[in-house]
Amino acid sequence: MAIWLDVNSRSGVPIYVQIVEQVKHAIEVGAVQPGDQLPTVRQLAIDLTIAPNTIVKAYNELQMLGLIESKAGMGTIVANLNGSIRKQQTETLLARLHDVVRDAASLGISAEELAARFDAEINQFYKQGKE
Amino acid sequence: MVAKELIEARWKLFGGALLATLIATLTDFTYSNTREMLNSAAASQQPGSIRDYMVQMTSSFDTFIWNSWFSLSNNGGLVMVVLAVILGAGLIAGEVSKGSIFLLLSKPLSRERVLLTKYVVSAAILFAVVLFGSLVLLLVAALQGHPQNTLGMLISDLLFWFALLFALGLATLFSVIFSDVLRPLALALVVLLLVALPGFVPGWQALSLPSYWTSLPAYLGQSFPLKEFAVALVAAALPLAAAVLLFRKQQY
Amino acid sequence: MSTTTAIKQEALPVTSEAAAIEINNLVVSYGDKRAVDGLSLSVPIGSVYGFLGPNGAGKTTTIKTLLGFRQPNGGSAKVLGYDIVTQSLALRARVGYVSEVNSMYDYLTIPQMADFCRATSLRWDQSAVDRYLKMFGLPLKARVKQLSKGMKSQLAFSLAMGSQPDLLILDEPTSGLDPIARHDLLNQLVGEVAAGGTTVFFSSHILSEVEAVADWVGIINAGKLVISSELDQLKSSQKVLKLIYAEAPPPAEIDALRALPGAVRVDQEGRSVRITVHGDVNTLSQLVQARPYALRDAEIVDLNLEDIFLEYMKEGGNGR
Repeated sequence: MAIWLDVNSRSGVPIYVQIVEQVKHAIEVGAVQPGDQLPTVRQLAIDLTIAPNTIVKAYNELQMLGLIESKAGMGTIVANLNGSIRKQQTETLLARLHDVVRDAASLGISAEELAARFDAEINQFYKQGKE
Repeated sequence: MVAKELIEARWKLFGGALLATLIATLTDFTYSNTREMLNSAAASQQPGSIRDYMVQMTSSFDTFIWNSWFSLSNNGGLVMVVLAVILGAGLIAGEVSKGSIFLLLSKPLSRERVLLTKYVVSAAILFAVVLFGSLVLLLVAALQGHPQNTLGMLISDLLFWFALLFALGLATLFSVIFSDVLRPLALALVVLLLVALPGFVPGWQALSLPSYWTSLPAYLGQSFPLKEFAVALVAAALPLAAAVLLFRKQQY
Repeated sequence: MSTTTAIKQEALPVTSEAAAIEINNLVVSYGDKRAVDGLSLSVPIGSVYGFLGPNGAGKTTTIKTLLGFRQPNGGSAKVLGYDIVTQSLALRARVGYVSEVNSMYDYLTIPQMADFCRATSLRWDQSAVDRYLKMFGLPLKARVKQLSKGMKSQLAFSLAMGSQPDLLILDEPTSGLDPIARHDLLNQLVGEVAAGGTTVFFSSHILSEVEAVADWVGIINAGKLVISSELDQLKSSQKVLKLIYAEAPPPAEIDALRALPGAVRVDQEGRSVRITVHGDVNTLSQLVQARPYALRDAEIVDLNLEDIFLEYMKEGGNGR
């Protein structure tokens, strides 16, 4: 049972988009691991009370993105493409870094100050990691 | 669908059978009373024509039984006719007024099949009640020492059943037209009364349907009522055919 | 009991249907009044189709006509490839139907009701009926008379599934149900029925339940189709652009906004402007921001089904 899935049918965001985003997010944060089984279309339809076609659509989209795959006898599983997931995770992280820099700039924080803060964070984290 | 129709009509069936038994038994027992009454002083006060009629009808036990049981204006016949009208009036209008018509019509059954199945079940119930009543009549009459002509009785039963089918068909027709049970019931009874009217006009006997629905010679086993059967059959078929045609076109 | 043998013996005509329901310019009148007035609609196979409209819009009349209770006064329609007028029997053999009133025979018990439906259906799967009856927890020995309105809906639904329909047509299936029973029924609808390959066509005026379970919606008003679309598609393509100007824009600018591609409706209240968009909202947003009036804020707002429904009803009122 996918407790990390939570669809709001009353939202203006299409339901299949919500499912795609949430599965993506779950993979990114590691809530589901490669090889993990995703719920069947029927099970998910019952759990979320949404039309099965909508779930099929979301799963198709995820399959096109290479995040999940259907295997005979195993149902739908999270794709075992470590490299691509790692790449995706890295991209997401770098995108967040980009956002942080942009937001800092708009708050008027100077490049030097930001770099100093960044160094301080790095030092603190890796020092902790060594202990 | 037959089972459902039978369950629906079960109280009408039981009630009809019970009434038929009661009337059949009473009919057998009232013969001697009626005769005594006619011979008494009170009866001599009656106008001549009625008295003559009653004397003629009570001239023999057999004639009396025939008149009481098969005449549509008498107890036995009247109860059956009303039963037929009650059965017919509810056939379609009962489904429409309760809303179950939508369930019925959503099934892969043609309208003709739906109507005819319902009609046939009602017709069978009427036949069973008529047959049962006359069997009781035969039995009690035999016990009283007046055994009746069984074949004559059966032929008369059949003819009488055709008369009931006319009433049933008429009520069914009105049941298709109206969406409540009461109007078909009332209208069918009114039309039946109108159909019987010519019988009361001297010389118009041939126009009166009820005169074809019963035959004394047939009851007494003297002749086979071929003409009567032909007229009764056509009369029974007409309202049914109209009901089927109308039901096929009806919008719900 | 062999009322259906005549149909059973001949095989159902084979159809090559492209859509579960295909309605073309259908007209159905009650006397002078046109309850369905030139309706055209297509329901894809395998969809859960929510048929929406205000009361009196013609939803029930449409359904009655599809099932042959009424004859159309114009136009045509096919259900599972069968013509609704000439092939009504074959059509009904493959369609399950739960009516709005779901009146059944009060004097029958639930097993007798099931027997009646079995005898009047071409196919029958008693185990499916038993499964649903058990799931809803219906009292098996009870007479229909003793059931509540909600239980009757559940019974009608269970019995409709007994004939193994390829298309299930439900007219306001959840009216009279409490929230839990409603959720259970909708759950069965999407989980068991739709996932099993049966197309579901249900009318409703409760937008939230349609929004929850349907993947397609059709909206009708005054007997005419307002829109029929995949729900997700509808939500992606219908947005509202909320603008706050530095100063109230002149009427000429509002007219200019109305003329922009995709703008179907523009409302102004002082410095605030609200544009209802059908289509590409991002392009429209860029066009608006390129215009010579300074904007304080521009926000794209998603619409839920209720918003969309109300927008369409407003447009209908404006004679669009």
